Amino acid sequence: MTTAPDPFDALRADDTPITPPAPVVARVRDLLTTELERLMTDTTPATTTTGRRTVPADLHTVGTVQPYLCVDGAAAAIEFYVDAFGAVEHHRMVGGDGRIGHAEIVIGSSRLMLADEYPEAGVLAPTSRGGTSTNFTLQVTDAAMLDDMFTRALALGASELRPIADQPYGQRQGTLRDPFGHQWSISAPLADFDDSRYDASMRDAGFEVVRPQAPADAAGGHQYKHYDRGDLYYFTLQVPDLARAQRFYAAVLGWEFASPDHGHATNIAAPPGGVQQVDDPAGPQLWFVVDDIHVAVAAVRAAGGTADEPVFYESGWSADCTDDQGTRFSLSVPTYTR
Amino acid sequence: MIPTRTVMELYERAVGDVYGYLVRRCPNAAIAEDLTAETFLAAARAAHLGTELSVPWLIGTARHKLVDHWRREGRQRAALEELYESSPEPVDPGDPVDVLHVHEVLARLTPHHRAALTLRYLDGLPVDQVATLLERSVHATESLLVRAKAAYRAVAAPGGDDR
Repeated sequence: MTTAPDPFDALRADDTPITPPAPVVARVRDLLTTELERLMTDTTPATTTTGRRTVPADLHTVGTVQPYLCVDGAAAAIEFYVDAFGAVEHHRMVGGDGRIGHAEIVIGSSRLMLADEYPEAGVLAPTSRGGTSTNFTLQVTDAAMLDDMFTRALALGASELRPIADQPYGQRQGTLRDPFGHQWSISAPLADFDDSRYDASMRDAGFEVVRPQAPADAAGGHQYKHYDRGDLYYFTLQVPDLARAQRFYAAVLGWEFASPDHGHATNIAAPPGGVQQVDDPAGPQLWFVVDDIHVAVAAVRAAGGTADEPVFYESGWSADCTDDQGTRFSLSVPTYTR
Repeated sequence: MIPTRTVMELYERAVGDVYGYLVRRCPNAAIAEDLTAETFLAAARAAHLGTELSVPWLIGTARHKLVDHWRREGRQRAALEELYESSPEPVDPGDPVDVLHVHEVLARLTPHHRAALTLRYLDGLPVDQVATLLERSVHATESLLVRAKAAYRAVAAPGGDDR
């Protein structure tokens, strides 16, 4: 079917920049500077995770641990991590001498930083130090993927340190040294390996498994909750007046709130949820757990829904979606799941 | 860690892009100025959360601010608007449209008609993206566009009005 040209296409705007009047530029600059200063001194975390209640108050700013790798040949290393482990390059900073002073890549839901050697600053790769004392575990979901990835990494120049085998701690795992001297275990969980089997298996191997006592207020809860695909990760009730909503839900449901941040207050009495102040409330917002955000977004679109491009926050990947009937929901790959 | 310098550098570089986008789509400069400020404040908070900013990110955010603005305006005028959404005069869809007075004409349309025409034609977005931004179904958006185009022609016609 051909469509007749639409005369309204003539309305297409010319979007060359227009600088606003100088006083406006200055006023917005001041607003922005003030906001950035406020954000800079704001020590409460910008995002929320389930189970926060068991984190000591003075450690509330702890987010994720991000490894920083030094490699001799950062450009080649990025290429290797992309080809072998499916890393996505986020950006790199190339110095005048051609060395990469800083680069960031994302593997799964983890962000890694890396740089070339800067011996003048004491930044040395494992190849210059005579080895590494750190091992990265790259967790994958199934054994077939583990085999593929391990074989591919070896083909791309990694050397095998330990062949793939089922381990007594419930993982099928192989360990390799990459061409830049870093050590990786690629690991997939064995089926039906619960805590009691884990403990028994380790006892056979000569270890007693000791777990810290859960805090009294976390009875039945876990600080690092295990999530399955489809679980509710978090919700917010959108309200026009945050303080009023806090009073209401405290009176009705006994909710207790952490200090509000960015118009958002987490209910710490019964996670996972909270209230969010917005100008234009549009009902609750619900985040559901998925294994892979990009796969899930593709699935939403294939099923007739719509999905925004995934965004990476400290709490993990997130994407806002609508289903094929227009109902809004969001997807999440929580950072702390595995 | 908030990349203050990154945000401020982006502001100096891109304030014209954002304001230019908004001022061509707002009935007056004061609204464009407010929405420019809202867009950059959102950018500061997004950078705080680790979002990588860019000019396309800013324009996308400015577009959302604009849609929110129309939505607020639309709620105030919702009752009035029901009256306008009756069946328009039939017009030959191939007739050329008045592009010379586009802003004056748009300013006299209802917020929903203005929103639909701006996103579809001034921004050149496909209908499904317009539908997403306006939180309507594709079908409802298509019929909204038909009514909006008829309203535009009615207002743009010599001595025309949308009432």
